[in-house]
Amino acid sequence: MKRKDVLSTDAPDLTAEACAWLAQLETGKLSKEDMAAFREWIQRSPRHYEEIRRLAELSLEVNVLTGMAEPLKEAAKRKHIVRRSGKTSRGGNAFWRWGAFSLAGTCALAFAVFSQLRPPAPAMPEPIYLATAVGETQDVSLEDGSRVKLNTDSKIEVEFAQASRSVYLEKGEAFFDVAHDTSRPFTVYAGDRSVTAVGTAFSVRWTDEELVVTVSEGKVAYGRGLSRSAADQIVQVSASAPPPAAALLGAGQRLEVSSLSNAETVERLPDNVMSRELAWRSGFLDFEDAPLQEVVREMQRYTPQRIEIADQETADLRFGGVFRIGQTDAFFEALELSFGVEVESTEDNRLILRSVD
Amino acid sequence: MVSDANSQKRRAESGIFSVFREQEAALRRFLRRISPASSDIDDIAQETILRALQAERERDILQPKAYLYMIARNVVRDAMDKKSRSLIDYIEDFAPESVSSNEPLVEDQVDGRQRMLLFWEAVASLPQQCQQVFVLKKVYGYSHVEISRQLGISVSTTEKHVAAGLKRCVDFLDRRLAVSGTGEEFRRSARTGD
Repeated sequence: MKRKDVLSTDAPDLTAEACAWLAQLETGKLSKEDMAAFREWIQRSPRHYEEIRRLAELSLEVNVLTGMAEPLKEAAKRKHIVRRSGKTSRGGNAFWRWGAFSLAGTCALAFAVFSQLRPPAPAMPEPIYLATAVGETQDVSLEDGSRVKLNTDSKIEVEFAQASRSVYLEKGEAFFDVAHDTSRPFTVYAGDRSVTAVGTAFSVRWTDEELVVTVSEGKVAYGRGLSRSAADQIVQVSASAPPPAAALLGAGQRLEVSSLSNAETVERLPDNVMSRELAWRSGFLDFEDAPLQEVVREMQRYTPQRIEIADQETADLRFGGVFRIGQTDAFFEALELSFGVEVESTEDNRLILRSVD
Repeated sequence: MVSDANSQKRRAESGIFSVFREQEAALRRFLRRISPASSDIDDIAQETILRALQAERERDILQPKAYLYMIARNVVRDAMDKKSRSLIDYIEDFAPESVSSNEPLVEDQVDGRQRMLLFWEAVASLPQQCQQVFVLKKVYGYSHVEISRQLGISVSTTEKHVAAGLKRCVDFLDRRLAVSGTGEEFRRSARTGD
């Protein structure tokens, strides 16, 4: 206490200084100059030494927070409806929850878990929100046995009722392996479109530019004009009615809807293209002889860094390769080493690609 | 169920390893959930069963399953503690001669769980990104480099958040403990555990 009083009245910034040094030491890679500066700082006064030691001990004490890992994840996955299965992508452990709900919410939940205060059981199952951060994928098993794989930067809401299974794709891309249940149609809503299946596997991707539905097994019905609230009404009014379907898509088919023109195109995908399109499910991105511009547009979804192409020549470059999701560095390395592209990273965290002349 | 101490002990002895075998897959999933991406799950699982077998030799373990999970948790945390301790050792090498490095520890003011919730309250008061950094670091044991990769920020930004987070925690705790009338700054104390 004596020490603390001295610190708080005499040198209000000493704690901050010590914290800054400690953080740097914890990173572990101090340059020679940094080391010399640290030595000078800690030896300048016994108070410096004592403060940083106190903080280092506090920092060790804070490791007790590892005990929060479980309740946080429990809270995040809301075990009663969704259980996690499989693995998340490398480094992607549980961070999807930040997109899903604020940490403050998680915090409240975690407290509830910890103090054993059970929230009153909801009469209706609450909707589940799932989200992934940029560069991350997530595997989830739903209570009906269906599986969802979320691609990078995606968000869905899952709402299961007695006679319907609804998923709202709010953004991004998700692959659905739907458990067969003819009495409960499984409908994915994206924008003003919907895709309904009873037992099949398909992916839906919804970005600013387009809506893409790719079917790998079975059949789905797709339709439009059903807004969310209309869908809610259907669920409430007549429990069995799936949204009116406009057309059917079969295995190997892909529907693309441009958000600009609203034009729909359906095409049959050759098997190799299909497997490439869905490679992200296994944690890979697969490109073959694709214009760099397109490749970059795809890669952009997996990294928070802004990627820009400086010249047309580079944009038109034909590119191929297989990359692990979350390891965008390998992509840039390949560009530099094998494709003669210079990758410049700027102060404000952009990456600029230009051809080396 | 009625049984004498010996038979109970025998059952426990035949127990912990078979429980481990039975639980291994689930335990590994659990470990993967609570430890940083870079950790070696094999190592942690092995350390867990070694410690459990050791403990079983010394005393009766009535709830082997719960016990295994408790040990697993401790193993994960010990790895983090080890890093923190070696940093303290490093800092203590700079101890001026006038300072005694063996000050007595203050008695436990709050038990382990309360302490954790107290820290958690401090963490909850942090601004969002700072909070994310701090949770990654202190809850999931990520290194600074892993954190910056995860959040797409630079290592020096991570350091700034770590420093700011620690500062807030220490302010929060000092204030809280001052209010609660103990008047003593927060000091480390013996851990509960296996």
